[in-house]
Amino acid sequence: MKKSSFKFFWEDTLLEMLPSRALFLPETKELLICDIHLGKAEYFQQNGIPLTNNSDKNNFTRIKKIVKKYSPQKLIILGDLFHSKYSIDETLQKKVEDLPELLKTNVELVLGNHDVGCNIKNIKIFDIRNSKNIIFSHEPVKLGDNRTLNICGHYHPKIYIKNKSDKLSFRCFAMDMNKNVLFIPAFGDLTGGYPCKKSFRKWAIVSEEEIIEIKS
Amino acid sequence: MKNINKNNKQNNLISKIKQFFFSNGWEPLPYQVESWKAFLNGENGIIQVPTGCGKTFAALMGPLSQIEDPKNNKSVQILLITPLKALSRDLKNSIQLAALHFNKEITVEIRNGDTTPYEKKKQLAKPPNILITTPESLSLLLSNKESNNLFKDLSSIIIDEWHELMGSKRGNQCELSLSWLRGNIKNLQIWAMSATIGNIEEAGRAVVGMSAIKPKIISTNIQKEIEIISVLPEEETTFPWSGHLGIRSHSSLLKMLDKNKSTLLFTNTRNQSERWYQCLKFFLPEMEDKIALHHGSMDKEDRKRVEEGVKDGLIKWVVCTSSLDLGVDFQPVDQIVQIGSAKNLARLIQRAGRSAHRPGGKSKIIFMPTNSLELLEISAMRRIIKSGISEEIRLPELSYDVLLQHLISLACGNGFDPKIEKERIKNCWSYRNLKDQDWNWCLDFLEYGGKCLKAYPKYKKIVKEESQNNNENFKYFVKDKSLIRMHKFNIGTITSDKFMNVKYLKGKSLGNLEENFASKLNPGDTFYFAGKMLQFVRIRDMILYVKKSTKKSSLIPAWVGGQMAISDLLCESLRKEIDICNELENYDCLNPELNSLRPILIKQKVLSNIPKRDEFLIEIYKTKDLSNLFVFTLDGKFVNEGIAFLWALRLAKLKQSTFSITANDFGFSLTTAEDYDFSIIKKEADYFLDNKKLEADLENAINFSELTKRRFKNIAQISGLVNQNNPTKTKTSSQLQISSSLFYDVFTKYEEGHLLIKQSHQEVKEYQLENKRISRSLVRLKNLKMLLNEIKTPTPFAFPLLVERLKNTLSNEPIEKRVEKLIKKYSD
Repeated sequence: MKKSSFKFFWEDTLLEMLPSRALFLPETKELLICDIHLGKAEYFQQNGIPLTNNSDKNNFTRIKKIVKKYSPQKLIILGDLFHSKYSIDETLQKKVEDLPELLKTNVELVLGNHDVGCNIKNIKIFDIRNSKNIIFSHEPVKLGDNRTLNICGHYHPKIYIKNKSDKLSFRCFAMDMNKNVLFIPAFGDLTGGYPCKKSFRKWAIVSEEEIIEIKS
Repeated sequence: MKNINKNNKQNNLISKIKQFFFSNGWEPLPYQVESWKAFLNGENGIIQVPTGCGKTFAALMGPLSQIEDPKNNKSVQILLITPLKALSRDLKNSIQLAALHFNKEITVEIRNGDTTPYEKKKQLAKPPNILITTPESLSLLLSNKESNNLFKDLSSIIIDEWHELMGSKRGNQCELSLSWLRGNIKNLQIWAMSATIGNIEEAGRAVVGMSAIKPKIISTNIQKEIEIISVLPEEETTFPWSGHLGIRSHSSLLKMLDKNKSTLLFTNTRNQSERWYQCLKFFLPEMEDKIALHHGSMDKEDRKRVEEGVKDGLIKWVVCTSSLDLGVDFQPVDQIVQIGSAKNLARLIQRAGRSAHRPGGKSKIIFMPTNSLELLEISAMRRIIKSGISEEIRLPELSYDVLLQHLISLACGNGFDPKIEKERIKNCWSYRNLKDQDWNWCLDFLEYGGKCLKAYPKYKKIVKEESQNNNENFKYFVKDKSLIRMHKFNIGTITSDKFMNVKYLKGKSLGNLEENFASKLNPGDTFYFAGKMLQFVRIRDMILYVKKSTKKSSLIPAWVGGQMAISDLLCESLRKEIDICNELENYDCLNPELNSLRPILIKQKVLSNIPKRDEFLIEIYKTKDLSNLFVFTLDGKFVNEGIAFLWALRLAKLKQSTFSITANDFGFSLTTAEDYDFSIIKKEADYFLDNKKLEADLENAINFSELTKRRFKNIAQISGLVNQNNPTKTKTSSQLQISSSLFYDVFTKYEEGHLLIKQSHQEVKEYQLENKRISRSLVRLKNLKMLLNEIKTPTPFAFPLLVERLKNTLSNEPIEKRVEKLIKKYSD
């Protein structure tokens, strides 16, 4: 049986990990994604590296698709919406500012390190965002108690799965069980990733429709 | 009258050169005199002699004798290109010795990656008479605006160890730089030096360019005598052990070696060198300070210390990789050991050559097999040496990545006019077939970023600048300072995976590790590196911090790359060798290797066959749950891999199944987890050996995109798409970090006919699968009689493949299938 999502409880809050690289909180109808890195191709081009830029189109399409499927009240982007402030041209700026209207939902941005200096209308911007027993941030934050969960982006977690004869890498959700931090996979198409620590609990996105827990 | 003067002058110079020889107590060899004369006659060409026969003096004395008034030069006069930085120091010493004889004021300087910025600047302001450099540093010089001045009065170029550069893209890089120098400087004389190779004419042509008159080839009949002694297994065994790296038989080797003699032990991989170093130190505790390790990933300072230790006689034994293949002119070493197959004769001869650096001297090498069938290779090599045939070394052709890099270099420096530059480049041997259409693609790619980006105005790399007096003419330049800086940092064709610097907590650097290995370590893990047991502490800013450890660990980093297959020439003689093995019972004059292999060979014959010259052996071995096919083509690892994939595809077309594939130099195996009828191969032999749809079938047969992606990594780095780690700027450049596989995906998806993608396909087919060799191999196999044996126990020939299968297999499955298998154990 293919698992099209993985349900996970933090105390009494249900979190749903989706193979579309998003996290859904059904109770509050919040949809979380992170690390889209819009304008990455343009940033490379400005620096003399000819990276083709059709990827942002695809990023927007995928955002539309999941929003349509889950009709959230809020789309929260956990940082690095943009790759660099230098690569935001008018078209891109407008496209992002039109997002709430287009998606017919609120869009919020928790600022990431790559977003520094960008200036966007129609989107609420936070440094860190609290919601009951969960803290949303871009980079992990220090938690005061062990009843709070920190959900963040920034790390672009990946996992290598191997057997005797083969090895492939996948984007994954990763949970630091000691520090109560849940890392969401990078949403953007033009993003790489980093293998995460052995001690983390991991859920690998093995295809666009399937997510699976990898127990070590 | 003029002619007589010229002749007189020439004779004077030659006798002056001879004086230098006599004053050192040497007698010039005939080929040396021939070289001097050819040079003084204004000719270009290549000197082909075995290592250690004084070819430096053969090539250099002519140019040196012509330097007049060295003090008032305004430009470099002689340029010396050498493949290894390590060679430069020794070259400089011997040149200086010779230069003193002509004029005390002649200056010789080195310019390479180790030269300080201060020295570099000084060289531009006041050029030395003679400059010694590497292909990379020369490329870097061309990206400098001062290059026009620096080489203004250059009169000759000498390329050392050309055969070493030719085998890789560094050869292309060198050709392109030469084309620019030839185009800019009139009356330039170019000479190369090379070891003996089979295609010397091609090598010479690549040096002088397509349009030049036929290059002069100077060879000698000096034959270097080589003695090869194999370490034979002590106990009689009927199984060709494998996978032990030969360490198990270390005692037989140690018995043959003298502890007080200077010794180089060559291994094929860095991992193997670490293992052997560990092993030797353990078994010879009394030699602790006299054994050292030397490989390319160790810290520069540590390597230098080892090299000097050997020169001073403090270090007796060095376990090394190809890092010590060339140069580092130690005085002749007393003992040379080769651990594992050298894979081709040229390398074995080169290494053996380190033991006698005198013309006519006899060189000796001890061979330590890591797999007993390698003894057959040695036996074959010995026969090749006797026959006097040499191996061919081929330059890669139409490497667009190197071409793009070269053009950016020129654009960073004095700019280039595309009309002029195109002709120069087409004059290079490796680019003689460059099509106009592809040339235009390259310019397009650099100016606009390729088809897709044409609409994007902010893209910039090279820009046109019209000439002041004629706006028909223009040159391309790189204007942006940060682009120039980035390009200069990335010049080179030897690329590697991301490396991490390994340091002690106190700060001393030990060398480099692949990031991939580092990422698997947990704090507290111990591993063996640079000959030391280390404990991993933490990673900070791409530096892996360690401390010394006393814990034992068998963990040793492996470095990707360095996989080699045996050469064509060797394959051919290996087949002859196996043919000879058929005569085992009544053949009295077997050499020691074949003699020691006798029990194994007899067993092979009893269980199956030893294929004769006109036979082709296939074995089928079935167990309860596996069907195995073993095919012995004796055609080298890569060809075997290719045919294995091809057959897997062709089998699957007849009867669906997935196979895991293993290959070595002898043959390959296909394994499937069902009861599969492999005998169909004999019935449908024509189908399996068919040559017609080879390329298309190969592309379908393999996870072709995986292989090309891996190739593309290197191409992306050379052509400047992906930046190598800048150790000083890890943080600031992080916004420009992207993996080559993302580029690969994007280009494949959005840009049809991308030349760099095309090149990666071509490289996989040519160098990895060696499709030309596969094609030849299929033709050859077609004419052989197929022996198909069902065997009850694995034969000695099959055994190494069986062992290998457990470590290293490839599969012909589609990606979805692979994912499915990988996650199987995690799904409930």
